[in-house]
Amino acid sequence: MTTTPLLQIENLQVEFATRGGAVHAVDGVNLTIEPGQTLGLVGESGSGKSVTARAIMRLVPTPPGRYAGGRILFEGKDLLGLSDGEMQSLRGGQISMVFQDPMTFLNPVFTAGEQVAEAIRAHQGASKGEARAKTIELFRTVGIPNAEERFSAYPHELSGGLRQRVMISMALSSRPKLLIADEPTTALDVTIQAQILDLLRHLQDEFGMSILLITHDLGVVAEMCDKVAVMYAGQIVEEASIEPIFDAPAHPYTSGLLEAIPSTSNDGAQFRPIPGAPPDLARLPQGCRFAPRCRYRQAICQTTPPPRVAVSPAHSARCHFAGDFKKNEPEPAIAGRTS
Amino acid sequence: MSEAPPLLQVQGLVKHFPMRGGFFDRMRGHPAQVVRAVDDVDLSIREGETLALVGESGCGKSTTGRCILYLQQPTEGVVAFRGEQIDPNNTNEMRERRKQLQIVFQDPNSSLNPRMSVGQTLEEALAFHKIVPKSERSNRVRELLHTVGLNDQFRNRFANELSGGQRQRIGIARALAVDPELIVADEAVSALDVSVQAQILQLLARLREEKGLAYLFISHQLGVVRSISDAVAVMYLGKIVEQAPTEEIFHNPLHPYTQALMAAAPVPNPRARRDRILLTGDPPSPVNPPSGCRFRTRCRYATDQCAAEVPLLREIVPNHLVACHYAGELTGS
Repeated sequence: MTTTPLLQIENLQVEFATRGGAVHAVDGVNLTIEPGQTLGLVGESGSGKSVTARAIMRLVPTPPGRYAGGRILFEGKDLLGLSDGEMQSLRGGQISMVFQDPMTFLNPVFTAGEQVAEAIRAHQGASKGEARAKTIELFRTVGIPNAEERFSAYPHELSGGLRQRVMISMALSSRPKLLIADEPTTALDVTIQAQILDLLRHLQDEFGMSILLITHDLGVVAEMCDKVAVMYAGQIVEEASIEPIFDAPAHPYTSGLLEAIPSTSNDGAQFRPIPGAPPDLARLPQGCRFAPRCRYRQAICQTTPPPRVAVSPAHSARCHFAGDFKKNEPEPAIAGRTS
Repeated sequence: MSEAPPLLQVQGLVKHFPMRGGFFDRMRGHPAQVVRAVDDVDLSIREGETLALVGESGCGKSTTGRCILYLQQPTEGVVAFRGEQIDPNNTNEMRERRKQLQIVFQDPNSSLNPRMSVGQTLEEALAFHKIVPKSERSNRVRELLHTVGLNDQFRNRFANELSGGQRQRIGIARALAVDPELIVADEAVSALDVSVQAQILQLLARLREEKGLAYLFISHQLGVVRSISDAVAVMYLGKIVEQAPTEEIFHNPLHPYTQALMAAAPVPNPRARRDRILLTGDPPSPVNPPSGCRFRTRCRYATDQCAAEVPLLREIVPNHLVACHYAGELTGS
């Protein structure tokens, strides 16, 4: 396909000033999202995935944060160069965001309906009555039962799943081209998570939007995404379409993450942890950032940062032995269920 | 049967939390309501066994764990350890029991004292329970740290200097300090990143091998549960709806709720995308649970009988208990 990408992030650098000097939370991230596509951004706590998402919305607090370099092109326009006013109309307009915890996002002293209606009035200049009618319609679209009654419910009167639906309805009120969903189901129970993921898929079909889904759960990625980018210590270490990532991970970290999940579908239920913990961003190792935890590391990994290696046209990994690291396999030691 | 009594046996456990009505409710004479967090739960754990207690938030799984240790007073019901009923009013006995029954919490951040070093935290447990003489405490701390995979330098650190995984290791070391026989692990790995979560699971499995520990493993993560437990009990709105050996329940879930729970858990395999059994709606409030079967409001098989009669836990397959009127007649499709 030769469509222009909806969102293109080029060499994004976001740093935070700390007492110990600048910390590069996002260090040279490149991402591309096509119209209608769902990209999963995966990583563990502190990997920089949420900062990347917030940077797209220009929601990184500055200071202490600073956009230190790179471009974020949305339909060809660099978001980092927009004025605050221009950004304001884009944010919640063409780009919307859904957060992990709807309770901290929703204002406790206004009803759910008023807040969604306010967003509609702000972005679409609708009258009060129109906004109310649109809100109730949106509530129906996102599957809120008794939508009319729920218009005047306060956030604390709603369950976690319903609050998330209210937030999604607000994000969708402007018919965004890009929806950024930051851990949208992490705080929910599995049966409710299944409902919300299902809803997001239906809405994507209906509205034709792109989704940037930020999550730590590879199961959610497998169900939702067309493409995946894996982050580690501020960098994207692997990027590919969905099937190669799960079938043939080219980076030892991705492979390790997959092996660390005790899965319900796995009869032997074997899993292997990744030893150690992610590095302190203020004290990064000299070579590959994952090397201290990598079971396949070689001498070069500890001295030279690995380049991005393409293992196939649409599959790249930041590893000296990308796609081929298993040849450095140490002794086989699979742990897990022993009884 | 003339077997030895199980390590831990819980019978008829009930925990109701009274709700203080608002001012106007009381003025209007509305009756006080109760939250039926746990409603008649039976459990038994043999020596060295790991029983997982699974369910969604608010189903009463954590309250069950806390009631077993008498961190919360059960409203009704008895807990017996090795066949002896625990008397919560007997302080001396409770002190002994606490050596045998320990708990590890979900959030090690809020369960470790930020003003105490790791060494002090562990020594406090040793001193309180008079596990070893004072002169040996320091050695014992080193051993404990070693057991949970940390070196002796950690003794001087404070909780804020530790990563989440390290904190959870300290929480486990503290529970191990008194050489317990059963540990209640209340969502002990839920707050951790996947790679670290696997480390802690492996540690728990190793301790079970080395020390013959039994666990009551409270969790909402089915994958984790499958990897560590021997048997699984599924809770919904304060009641156990299904209980069976681990592989049996994963291969042959018989309660519609268990079936839905398993179908809802995302699998890290893009080819496993399938039509899930979507449960509609939210769990009802435990203040006013539905009549009959508590799951019936979200169950696609529900009939009039489900509203009228409370289903009892019945043995459908040997060792496989299900509380559903139609257990064994429903297929998962």
